[in-house]
Amino acid sequence: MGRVIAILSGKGGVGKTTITAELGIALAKRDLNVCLIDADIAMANLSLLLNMQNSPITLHDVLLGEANIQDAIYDGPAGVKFIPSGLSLENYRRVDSERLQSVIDSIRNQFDFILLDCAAGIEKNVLAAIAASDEVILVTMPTSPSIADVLKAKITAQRLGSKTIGVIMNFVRKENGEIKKDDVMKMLELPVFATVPFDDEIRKSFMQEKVMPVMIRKPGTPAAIEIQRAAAKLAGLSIQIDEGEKKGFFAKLFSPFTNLFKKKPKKIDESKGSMGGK
Amino acid sequence: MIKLLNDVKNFFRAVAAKVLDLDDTVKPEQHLKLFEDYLDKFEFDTNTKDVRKFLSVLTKKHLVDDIVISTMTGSSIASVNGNAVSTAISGAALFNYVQSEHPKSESVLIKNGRGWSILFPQNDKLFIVKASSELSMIELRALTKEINGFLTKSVPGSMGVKG
Repeated sequence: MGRVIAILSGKGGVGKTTITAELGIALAKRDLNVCLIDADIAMANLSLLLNMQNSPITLHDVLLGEANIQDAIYDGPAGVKFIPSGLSLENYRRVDSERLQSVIDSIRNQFDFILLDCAAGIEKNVLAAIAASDEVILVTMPTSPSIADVLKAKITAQRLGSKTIGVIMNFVRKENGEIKKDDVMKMLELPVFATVPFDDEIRKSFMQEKVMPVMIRKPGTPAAIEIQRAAAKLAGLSIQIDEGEKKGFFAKLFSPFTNLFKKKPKKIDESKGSMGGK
Repeated sequence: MIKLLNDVKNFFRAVAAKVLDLDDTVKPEQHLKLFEDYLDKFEFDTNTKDVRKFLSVLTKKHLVDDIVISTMTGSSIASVNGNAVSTAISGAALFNYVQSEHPKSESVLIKNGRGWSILFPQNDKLFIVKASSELSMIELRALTKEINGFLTKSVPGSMGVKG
């Protein structure tokens, strides 16, 4: 029976979607069966982060009763499975988010972890995601407005009978005025799984010809390493950091030449790539 | 002498901070103080055997004004104020009428003045909830799940409990 975990923050812009994607990939890299669900039904963008924005069947279709959930599960990076939400505003208006629980229950045996990327706020769609989950992880920035909102999110989860298991602090810059990990633990009465530093590599991962999560592109960056630690803690595994391929100065300098002599990898059929590999 | 050195040091530090625009942020202690007891206000002790006390705590936890539980035929099972006979009868009559006209209806929402009355059947019981805003089905289910859990655990043959 898989663990269904909602990633929640209350406040928008704290990095919930990024944390969900990176955490899911980090868990998948530890050979766990992971499914990411874009439960932000109104403002879905997890698919953009995973570069899987053209998925023909989405969670919207499933919640509308027009498609089977199995047809909305796609192969994502590093073996992670992904259920996207649609980008259509019209369908969003028609969707019955209260069906989310039964949809998730029907697939929970297929995975070790099902991570739900929730919307900001505590509106109906967020409540549906919380109610459909067994556990909640709160994501916050080390600032007071963000903490105020996770407090409300924690109370909401408690009201709906979902267990809040921990906090991930994101965008940590170690500035004087930041709220520290110990303060967060004391205020929220929860363990802090990770303090993810502000890392420009995350921002840059959106600025590529082919958008790719940093856990794939550069797993050795400080933010990715911290998320790998959080994944290990969450799964109860020993911490093994994948730092990716590290190149020294000379290796980087001569890489254009050495690449000429390397055997070219087989070309991946794009039509069967991230989008169609159901 | 030491005080003088400290004053000089502080002076140069202040000048340097001004000129170099150094990080002068500090932790918002007032906010932290505000948050410190925030969660305590939302700690709800539902560990009681008194049904009225339990429902009273639930009204605060689920942000509603009143809860009445009745049978589908209008007999009052339990309520917050202990006197809900007329609410139970009229609630059950109303819900049964609506369901006879709309057999698939899952709940009835009535906007009355400043608040809402919500009729929600579950496990052969009718939950009549009054609140200042309408509750989603998800919130109603969470509320009724707790009540059903309490009735099953605390009151054997729960249908017989009088409000």
